[in-house]
Amino acid sequence: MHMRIITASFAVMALLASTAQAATLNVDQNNLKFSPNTLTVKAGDTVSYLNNDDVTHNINVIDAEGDPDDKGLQKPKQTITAKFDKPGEYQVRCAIHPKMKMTVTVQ
Amino acid sequence: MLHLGSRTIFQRRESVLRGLVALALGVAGGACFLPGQAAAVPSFAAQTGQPCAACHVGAFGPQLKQFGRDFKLYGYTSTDNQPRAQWIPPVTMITQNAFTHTNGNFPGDVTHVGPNDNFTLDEVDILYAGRILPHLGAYVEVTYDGVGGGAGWNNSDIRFAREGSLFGEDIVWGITANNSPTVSDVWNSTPTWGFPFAHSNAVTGPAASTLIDGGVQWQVAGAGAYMMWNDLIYVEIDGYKGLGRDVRRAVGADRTNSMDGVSPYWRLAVQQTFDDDRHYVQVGTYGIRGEIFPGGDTSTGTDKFTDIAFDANYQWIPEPKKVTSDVLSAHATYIREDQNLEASSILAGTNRHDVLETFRVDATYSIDATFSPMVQYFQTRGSNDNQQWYGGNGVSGSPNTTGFVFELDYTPWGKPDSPVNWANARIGVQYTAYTDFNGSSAHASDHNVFLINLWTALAFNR
Repeated sequence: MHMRIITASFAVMALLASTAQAATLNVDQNNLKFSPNTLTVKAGDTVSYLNNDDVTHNINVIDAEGDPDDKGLQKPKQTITAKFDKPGEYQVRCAIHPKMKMTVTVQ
Repeated sequence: MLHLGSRTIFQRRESVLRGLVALALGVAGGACFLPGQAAAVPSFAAQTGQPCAACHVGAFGPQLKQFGRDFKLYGYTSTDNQPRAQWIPPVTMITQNAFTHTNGNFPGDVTHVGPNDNFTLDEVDILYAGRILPHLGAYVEVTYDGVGGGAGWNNSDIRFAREGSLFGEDIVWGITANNSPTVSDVWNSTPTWGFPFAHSNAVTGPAASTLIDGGVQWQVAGAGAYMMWNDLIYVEIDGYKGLGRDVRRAVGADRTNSMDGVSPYWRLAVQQTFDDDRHYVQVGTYGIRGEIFPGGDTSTGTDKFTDIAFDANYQWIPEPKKVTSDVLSAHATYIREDQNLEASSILAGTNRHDVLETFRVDATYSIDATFSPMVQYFQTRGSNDNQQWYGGNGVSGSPNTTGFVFELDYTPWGKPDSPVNWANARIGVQYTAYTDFNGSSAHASDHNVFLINLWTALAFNR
């Protein structure tokens, strides 16, 4: 009986710990720039991008191998989220505004 | 003897009746009209999903804001990746209509138009403007001259662009193939894309201009490379080769003179933004060296022209986040041309050496990307040489011309809340006042021009 309680406790703690680790970080898109333009996250974290400009943006996540994951268009005031599961360095770009880019490092 | 005046190619005439019909057809056709420079390009807007105001001061070209300059640097290839009718290329049609009044009457100055008060369909332009491949894009323009008749090519620039790194900093580099010096430039201080953006084909402008200021416009084919380092320093080197007379006839370009050899063109500029992008400053230099057979006559060698120019740009955007923010946009350029006229002095009795200097400064204040008052001061000064500037028929031998341009433009669309982003229009009222014209101040004001122009643009890749 004690053994079951201890095992269950460990399971709950592990679940809570994993939930606590998966954070959501916010990035603003302001005046055709990402703010901040560099970010370090943990594997499993999510980044939320909020378009604070009055023109349409796009979120395109490019991994270290150069493979893009186009998250689509983002109207003004819309949010797009991107989950980063694998460690590595990612570049996030707006396909419309070529100078608009940021680096996300996933640990 | 050697007339290097810019914008001569379309300076011909048309009757008032024909102009009225053309005006009606142009407007009814939903096309737009465009004086001299095709600039408002809705196919770019359709490709990027951005309103005209994202790239242009006053929501209409050709004055560029920072994103517009970047879009060109990156080879016209940026896109919102949306599936559109892929079989429709990024083609835009532009038309330009005008009403022109001059203080004095000048019958016969321009063929196909009356001596004054002319309604004209100045131009109909078809442009391929947009991405060809992911890193290759084009702005290629073919123009029908509604005043003189006939069609030809207009400003054209095909470019390949990539990103890279140099000395630890980002660069954008590219290769351009184009048909006029400065057509590849991203600033509105240089001649091709400089103010005034609208002009009438129904009047004849001043006689003298420098080689780089339209003197070989569309008469050459050029190629070169450019690089923007760290968003700070821009370098471009091109070489221009004169087209043969048959080719120039085919593309509708001027065939008066012929260029010899390859003419080097250079461009160096430094840019910086301040105060969270509210202020933008650029200073630069550009130039060309060209050898010309005057009149195409090769018997006495060439005239040699060396143009060295400086330019500056300033933009103030009080609300840079807001695409329709007011914008103050100012440009200035100074061009000095040294002319070694060995060939023309033998053939036509010109001086052996002349100097021509041009200075222009202009400013626009765009209000809500809708109303745009503009003003320019322009001045050309040079050596006394009646044969060179006027073929011996000048009132004086001086090429001096000085004056002001005042303009007010209204652009109803091109903003985020506009009904469509694949069409736009602009109506402008412009007054050009000369204090000196072709070396004389006595009757300079006779050449003052009052111009109403309607410019519309329509994209097919909507």
